[in-house]
Amino acid sequence: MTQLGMAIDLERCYGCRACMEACKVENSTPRGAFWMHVFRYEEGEYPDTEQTNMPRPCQHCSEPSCASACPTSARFKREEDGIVLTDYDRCIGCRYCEIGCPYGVNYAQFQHPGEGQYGHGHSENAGDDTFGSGSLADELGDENPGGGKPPWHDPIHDQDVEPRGTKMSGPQPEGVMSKCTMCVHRQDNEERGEQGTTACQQTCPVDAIKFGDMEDPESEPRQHLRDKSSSSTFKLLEDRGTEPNVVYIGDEPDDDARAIEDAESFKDPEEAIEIEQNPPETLSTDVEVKE
Amino acid sequence: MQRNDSGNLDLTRRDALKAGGTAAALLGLGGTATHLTTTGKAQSASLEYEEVPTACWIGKMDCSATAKKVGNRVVKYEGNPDDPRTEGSLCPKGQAQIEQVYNPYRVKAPLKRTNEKGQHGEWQEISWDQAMDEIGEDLKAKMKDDARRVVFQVGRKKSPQWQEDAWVTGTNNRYDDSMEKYGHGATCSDAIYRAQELMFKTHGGSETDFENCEYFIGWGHNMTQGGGAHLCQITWPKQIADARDDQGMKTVAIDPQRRNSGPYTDEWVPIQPGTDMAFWLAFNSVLVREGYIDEEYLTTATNAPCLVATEGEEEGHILRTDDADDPAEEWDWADGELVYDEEAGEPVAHEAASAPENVALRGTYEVDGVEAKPAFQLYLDQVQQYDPEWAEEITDVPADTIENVAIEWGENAMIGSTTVVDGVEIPYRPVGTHGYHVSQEEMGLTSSMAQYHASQLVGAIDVVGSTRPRKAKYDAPQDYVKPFREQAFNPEKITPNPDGPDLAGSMFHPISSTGYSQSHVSLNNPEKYNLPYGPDEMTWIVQMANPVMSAPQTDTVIESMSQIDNVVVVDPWMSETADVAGDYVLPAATADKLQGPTGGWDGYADLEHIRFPSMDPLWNTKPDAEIFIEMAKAVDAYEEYVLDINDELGLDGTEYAYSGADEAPADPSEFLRDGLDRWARTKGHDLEWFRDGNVITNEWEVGDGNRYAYTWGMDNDYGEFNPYDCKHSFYSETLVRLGDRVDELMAQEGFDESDFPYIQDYNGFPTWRQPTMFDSPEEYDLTTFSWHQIEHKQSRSANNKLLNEIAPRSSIRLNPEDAGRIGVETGDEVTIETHNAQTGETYSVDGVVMIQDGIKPGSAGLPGTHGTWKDPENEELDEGPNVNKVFPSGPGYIAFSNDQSFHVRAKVEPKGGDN
Repeated sequence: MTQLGMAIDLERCYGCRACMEACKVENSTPRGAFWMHVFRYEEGEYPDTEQTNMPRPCQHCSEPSCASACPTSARFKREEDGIVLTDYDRCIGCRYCEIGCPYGVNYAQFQHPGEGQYGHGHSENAGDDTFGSGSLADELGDENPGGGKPPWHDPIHDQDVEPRGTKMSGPQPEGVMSKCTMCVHRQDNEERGEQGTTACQQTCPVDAIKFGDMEDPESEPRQHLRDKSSSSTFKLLEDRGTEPNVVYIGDEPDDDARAIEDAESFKDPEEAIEIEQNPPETLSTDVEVKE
Repeated sequence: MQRNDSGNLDLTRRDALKAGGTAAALLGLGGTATHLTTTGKAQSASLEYEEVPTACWIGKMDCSATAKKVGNRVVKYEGNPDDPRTEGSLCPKGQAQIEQVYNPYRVKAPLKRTNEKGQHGEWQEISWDQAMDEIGEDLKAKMKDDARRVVFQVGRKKSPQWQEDAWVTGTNNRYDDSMEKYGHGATCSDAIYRAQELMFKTHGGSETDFENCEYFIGWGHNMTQGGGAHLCQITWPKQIADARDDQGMKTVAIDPQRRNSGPYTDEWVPIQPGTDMAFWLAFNSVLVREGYIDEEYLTTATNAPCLVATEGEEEGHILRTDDADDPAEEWDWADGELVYDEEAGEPVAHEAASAPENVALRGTYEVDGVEAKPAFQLYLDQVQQYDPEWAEEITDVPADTIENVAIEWGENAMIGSTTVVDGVEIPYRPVGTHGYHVSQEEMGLTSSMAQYHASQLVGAIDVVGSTRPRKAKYDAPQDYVKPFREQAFNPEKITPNPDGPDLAGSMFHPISSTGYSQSHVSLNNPEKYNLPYGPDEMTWIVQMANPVMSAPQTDTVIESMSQIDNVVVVDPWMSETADVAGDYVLPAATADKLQGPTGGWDGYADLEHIRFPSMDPLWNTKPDAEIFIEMAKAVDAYEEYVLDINDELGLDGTEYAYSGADEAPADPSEFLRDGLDRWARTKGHDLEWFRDGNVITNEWEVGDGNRYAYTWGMDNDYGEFNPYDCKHSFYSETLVRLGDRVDELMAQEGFDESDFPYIQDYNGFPTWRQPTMFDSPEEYDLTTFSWHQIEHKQSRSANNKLLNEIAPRSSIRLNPEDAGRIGVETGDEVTIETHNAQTGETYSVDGVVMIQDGIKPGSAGLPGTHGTWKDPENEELDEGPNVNKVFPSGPGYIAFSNDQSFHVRAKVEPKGGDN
C-alpha cells in the first residue's frame, strides 16, 4: 500500500518561499492560488521572540474530509498512491471541499482563466510595440499555449489522468476547484524522469521537504524522521480526524503564534487583474530634478 | 537513472534527452539552432520535450540550472544537482524568473531618446548599426580627448569577460588611456571587502567552514539572505542547517530584526542600528580581559608584535630596519619590521626573531632612543575603555549579553588546539562570523575591522571551523591592498584632484569602493570635488546597473544623470535610469542568451559552466557579449578586444589563443560561440560537451590552497613565521599614514571633519565616534535600517509579477511599542520622514506598516527594491516605496572608503497627520 506524503523539517526551513514559486510555475496556477503556501509566524514578546516558517501543501489525508464533502465525487483519493485529486471534468465548483477541508488548501477559479495569468492570458498584451516593435504573440507564434494559459504552461498537464482518464492536473478551468496534486503529472509520466519528486521538494535549498511513500520505512521522509528522532514532530489539526500525511519536524506553534508577512500581505488579485486589464497609458511617477 | 544517496532519482541530462526522443537530435549548439525567428512565426508547434543546460539569470550567483522546454518555449527553470552550491535548488527568484523572460514590456530594439532628459523618456526605434555608429563616434571622440570623460558603470557582473573586462581593457589599450570603471560595491558590501584587503591581503566577503564550525555569529541578515561573495542565499542556509543538524552548531544573530535569521537563531541580539562597532569593541575587550588571546597567531602571522613609535616623527608608524623591504612593493610580507625579541633582549626584524614565543606582544621599549610599543600593547591600552557597560549605553545590548556571547566565543574557539584534515595539521578554531551588507554603514569599514579583531584575537582566521575572510576561490594572497599601501607609503601620490566623480585615489577617498552613490553627489558639485570634467562633458555606459533606483539618494542621482552628455544603458527593460537619463537603450536578452563562462564555489568545491539560451533572444535583443563585441568595433578597438579576450578567457599561452581580430569570426554570435568553445577546449572539453549538460566540478583538498589560507605559507622560507604567506594587519599603519596625508590636504583645501566626518576614522585601531546621524533632532526617534527581501534581487526583480504577488511592497516594520506610541496598526498607511544630519535636508516617502515583535524598538525596518516604474503596469503593481529616496548620500552617510550608509534617523507618522 503506497501513501505518498511528506516530512517537512521546520528546523531547516528558513521561509524563502521558493517552494511556493516552484509550485506556481510548475502548475501554472493563477493569481492568488498558492497550492503550496508558506506561513511565516512569530511567537513570544520582544525580545524573547521566535520566528518560524511552515510550508503547507495539501495534506493528502487518509480520511480526506474534502472528499467526503464532495457531492459529485470529483474530489477523490487515488487508491494506487493515496494522492487526493480533483477531477476537473466532474467538479461543479460548489466549494464544499473548501468548507470541508480544515487546512485551507482549496482554490476556486471564478475568473476566466486568462484573467488570472499575470497578464499573459490574452492574445494581445499592453506591452506590444512598446519600446520597439514586436509583440509577445508574434514571438511565440504557434507555440502560444492559448486558452488563457501563460507562456510557461507545460502541456504535460493537458494529458488525461488515471484512473478516470480525465483532466486533473495543472491550472483548473473556470468554475472549478483546485489544489496541490503532489505533482501527479510527475508521478505519472515516466519519460520526464521526475517520478518520486515534487516541484516544491526539488527546489528547496535546505532539503526541508522530504517527499515519498509514508508506508515505506526506507522512503526519504521516513529516513529523515529517523535521522531527526531527537526532535519533536507534529501533524496539523490531528483532532479533526483527517489523518493528514504530512509530518512536521519541529515545535508545534504556540497558541499565541501570529502570522507575519502572510497571504494578507500579498498582492490583491482583483486589484492586480484590474491593472493588467486596464493599464495606464503613461507613467505617473513624478521625476523630480533638483534645481 | 540511478538513485543517489538520498534515494532520489538521480536524473542526468543525458537520460532526459534520451527520454525526450528526437528533440535532442534537432539541437545544434545553443544559438545556432534558431528556434524562434525574429521576423515572424516560429516553426511547427512541436511538443517535443527538451532540457537545455543554462544558468539562472535573475540573481547574482548564476546557479547552474536546467531550462525545461516544450517545443520552442521554456516552461520551467530547475536547479542542477551537480552544482555544489545548490545541489539542485533554485531560490524563489530563480523559480519566478520565467515570467520576466516573457515580459511583453521588454525593450525590443535599440532606442534613441527624442525628448529632454530629466523626465520620462520618449523613444525612437533605431537599428543596431545606427546605434553603434552614433555611440561609437561619441566614444571615440571622448576617448581620444581624455578617457576620464568616459565612465563604465557596471552593476551586476555576469560573465564580465566580454563586457566590463575585455571591452574596457581593449578600449583602454586602443587609446592608451584609462576610462573610469565603477562597480556597485559602495551600496552592496564593499566596506568589508576593503577591511579584508587591508587586514588579510585577500578579497571578498566572509565565508565560514561550516562543516566544522561549532559557534557562529551572524552579523546582520547575512545568515539566510545576504549571502557572501558569490554565495547568495542558498548556500549559507544549506550549510548552516547541516551544521546544526550534524554537529549542533550554535548560532547568535546580531541584528535589529529577527526575521532574516529565522529558525537558525539560538540567541537573538537586537542591536541599535549603526552601533555595531561599539558592540565588537566591547566584545573584544571581554576577550582580552578573560585572556582569550591566541598569541601564536598574533606573533607569527600578524603585525601585532611590530614596534610602533609612540613619539617623534615616526609616531604611529611601525619601525623598521635600515634595509627593510619597501612596504608598498612587498605588500604581502615586507621584511624588516621590528619586533622585540625577549630572548635576544633587543629589537630584531620580525622574521629573524629567535622563536614566536620569544616575540613580545606587550611592554614598552626603546628603538634608537625613541619610545615604541608592540602594536598589541597599544591595542591593550586602548580597548579596555570599551567595556560592556559602556557599549550597553550605545547599542541597547545588555552588558551581560555582550559578556556571555564573548565568553562563549572564547571558550568555543579552543585556542591552542589543532586537527588534521587531509593529512595536514591545522589549528582548530570552530568559531565563525559573517557580516556582509551590514558593513554598509557610516563606520562600516572600521566596524568590520573590529569584527575581524574578534576572530584574530582567538586565532580563528582561515583555519578549521572558522571564518575565511576572502572568496574561497582564491588560493593565495591578493594584491588589492597594494594601491592603498602605495599611497600610504608614498603620500605625495594623493592629491586634492580626482580623476573622476568617484573621487578614488584623491584626498577625498584614497581608498574607494567606487562611488555608486557618491559619484552623483560629486557630479552635482564638480567645483567642490575638483572634478576634471563636469557631467555635460562625459559619457556613461551603464551595464546591468540602475543607479536611479538602486543608489541613494534618488533625487540626487536623477539630477546628476540627467546632466550627463551621453548615457548608454544596456538593459532588458526600460530601467528607471534609462527612462530618466538614457540617450540610448540597448536591449540585452535575459535568460534567452548564450553567456559565459561562469561558475562559483561553496567553500569545498567549485564549478564552471555555461549559460546556454533557454530560447533564442526574443525580438531584436542580444546577448550582452555580442553588444560589446559590436561596441568594440564601433570604437575601433576590435583588435585590442580580441587580444584581451585571450587574457579574459585564459587562452593566452595555449593553442587556442586568437592571433588577432582576423582569427575571430566576423559575426559576433559566432565569435561568442567560438570563444566559449576555445575556453572549453582549454578545459579538455568542447562547447558541445557543456551543451550536453555537463559542468566541471572540482572538490578541494586541504593543502591545494582554496581551503584554509593557513596552508599558504607551508613551503615558504619563513619557518614558523608567516603561515599565511602574507602578514595580517592587526594594527592598521596604512590607515594612520593615509589619515595623516588626508588631514594635511584637507586643511590645505579648507576642509575639516565638519565637512567630511569620515576623515576622523583613519586610525590604527577601530575607534568609536558618534555616527553623524546621532546629531539629528530628537523628534527623529527611530533609526531606519534596510535589507533586500528574499523575494527580490535589486531592481531587476521588481517588475517580476510572480515576485510582486508575494512581495508587492516595502512595508515599514515597527515593534509594537513604537507602533502603539505612533498610533498605528499593521496595514495602516504612514509617512516616514528621514533627516540628513549633515545638511539638514529631510526626505519622506509613504508606506504601509507591518508590526512584528521581531523588530527592535527604536528602529524602523524598510526593505529595498520597490517603487519601480519600468512600465505602466509595473508602476501600478509595485506598491513601493523606494527606500533610496530617504537615505542621504554624501558626507555624513558614507565611510572614508566611499561606502554608503544605510542607516538614518527617521520619524513615522500616520499618513495625513495624527488621528
